[in-house]
Amino acid sequence: MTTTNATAQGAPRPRGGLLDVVLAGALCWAVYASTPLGAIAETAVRVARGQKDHPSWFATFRGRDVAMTPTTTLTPTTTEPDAGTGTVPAAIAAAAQKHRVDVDALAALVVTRGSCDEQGRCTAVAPDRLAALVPGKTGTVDVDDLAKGLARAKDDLATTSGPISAEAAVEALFVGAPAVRIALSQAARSALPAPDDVEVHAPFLSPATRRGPLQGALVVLQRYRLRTLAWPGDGFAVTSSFGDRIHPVTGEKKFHNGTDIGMPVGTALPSAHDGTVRRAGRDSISGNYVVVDHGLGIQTSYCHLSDIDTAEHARVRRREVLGRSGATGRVTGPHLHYVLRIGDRPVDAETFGEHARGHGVAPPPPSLPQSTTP
Amino acid sequence: MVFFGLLRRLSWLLGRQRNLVRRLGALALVVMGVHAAADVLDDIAADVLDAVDLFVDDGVASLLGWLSARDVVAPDAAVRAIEACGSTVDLAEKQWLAVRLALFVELMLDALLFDLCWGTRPAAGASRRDELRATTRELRDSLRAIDVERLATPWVLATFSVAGAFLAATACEQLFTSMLSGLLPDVLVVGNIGAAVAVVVVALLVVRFVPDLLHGAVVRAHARGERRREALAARRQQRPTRIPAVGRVTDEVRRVLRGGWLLLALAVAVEGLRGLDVAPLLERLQATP
Repeated sequence: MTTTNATAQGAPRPRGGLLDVVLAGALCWAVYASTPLGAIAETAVRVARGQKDHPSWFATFRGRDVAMTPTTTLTPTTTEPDAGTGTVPAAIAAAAQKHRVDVDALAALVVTRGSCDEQGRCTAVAPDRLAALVPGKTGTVDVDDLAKGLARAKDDLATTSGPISAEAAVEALFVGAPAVRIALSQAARSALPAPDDVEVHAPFLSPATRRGPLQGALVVLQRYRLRTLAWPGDGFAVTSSFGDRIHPVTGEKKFHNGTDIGMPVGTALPSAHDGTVRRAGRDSISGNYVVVDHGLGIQTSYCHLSDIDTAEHARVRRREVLGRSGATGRVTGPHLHYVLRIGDRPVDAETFGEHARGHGVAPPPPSLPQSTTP
Repeated sequence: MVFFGLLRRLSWLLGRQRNLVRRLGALALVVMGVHAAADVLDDIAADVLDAVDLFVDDGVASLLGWLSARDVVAPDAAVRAIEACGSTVDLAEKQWLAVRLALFVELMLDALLFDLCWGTRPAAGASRRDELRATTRELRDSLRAIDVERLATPWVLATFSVAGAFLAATACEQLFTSMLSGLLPDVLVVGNIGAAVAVVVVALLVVRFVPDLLHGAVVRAHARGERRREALAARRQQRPTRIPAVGRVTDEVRRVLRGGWLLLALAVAVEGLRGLDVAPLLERLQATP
């Protein structure tokens, strides 16, 4: 079945050899770059070279071309500096207001790359491309310079159609506005869903950018998404918090991997952030449940639902209804068991997002039982 | 003209290694297809795990409830045991398990399909017509005696290779589009061109690698089948049955059912093909800049 071409002398000459080599090369590259077999090959090479710091054998199973989960994931004990106070440090709020930029994006930059001192002065290490937007600003810079850079990045991106997200402006501080602008417009033209999501338009950035400056942006963007997580239990009280507790059924001390929010059956449950529904199923303990992947290693789970109003692989927007609260699975009463995971590790959802800053907290209605997950 | 002449000579030179190149390409194509199927398998495995977990938990709860009602087990102990059983595997662990299960199946399929994918050297001939004639003869001989492996192999490999071609083409599309975007930032149709390239790459991969892959695999399956027949006959001679007819029938059934695992692989391959996002590629092709 091979294709040959008879020459003048009658000897068969194979045709398309170069094409076959190019295609086979592209296929081998695709296998190497995106399959577990490629990951094994890469790790084997590292082991053979005596590199001790090689990743686990299947570390790259989900594809390695774009490492979209920040390598320096936040630890579960990390909390926002303003958690529980209900306010953003005054310097950050003032700078954000002055330059008309997203206060959470600015706070995420400061929290990730700097700090605020006791006098209320906030500084941070300048992102890679800040100097291109605010000349002369390198090294450690003031929050006002960061806000100025963020505003200019947003202005530079504004030539594309549609509103510019705060995430894109942050990305531009690290990657450069032209590269982000091209990636955004190419993703939009390619009819991809949610082109402003960094994970969607990142393939349109160069591989060097993805492996280099984008990694710095991903840490900030992860922090930004965590800061802007909506609370699914608006107006309802937490009946059992994250962490060690006495199990309501067995009476033994046990780790509780989520937060229980008491709410009547049928309450609409909003998604904490934009994302993709990873699982929608039923479990003997969790009852009807939905798991949403918000990207950058952030995942939320909603358990004990009476109804599921979404489907697996569906793209959901922030605050879009995923289902109705209920009392399915093993429960002592109707409630939502809400789990936030960062990089596959459960963390205390109350210390991130709107809830941590005092939004959406209310005393329980008097008629509501103090229900919890056993 | 000189450039094209050189290119043609290089192509002929490389064409001499076509047996190796095409086998490598076909192997990579199937590995990509298996990987595409494993992505879908991940979800199926999670559904199966959910169902099994639910069944086991409900069964244990019913049993312990029944035992507790008859005072065989203390109610407190029953509740603790039900709770312990239910908490053995939680949502995150099930997800972890589903991914590992999919990974295991993927690597198993890669290993099991390797021999069939590697196939045999294509039939040689003085001209293209001779080659085609020799190939047809080989295929006819191979399909004379039928077993599950010989019947299922072409379907399994064809399905996996089409899925693999699609996956590899979308990877090429991303690479091509990102390169072109950098070179020509103001060209509006880069996305459309990228999608068109992907469609062309799918067609090229299928046309250049799949016919040889299927031919080689069927011939290989025939050779394996004949080896199996001889092995069964040799074993029967060493250990004859009391009723020879029964022994013959048993051997024939075992020979025909050889390669039953390929039916499972076919189901996985079809699911993988169904799980491909073909519509978005077509949308990208037609998107208005």
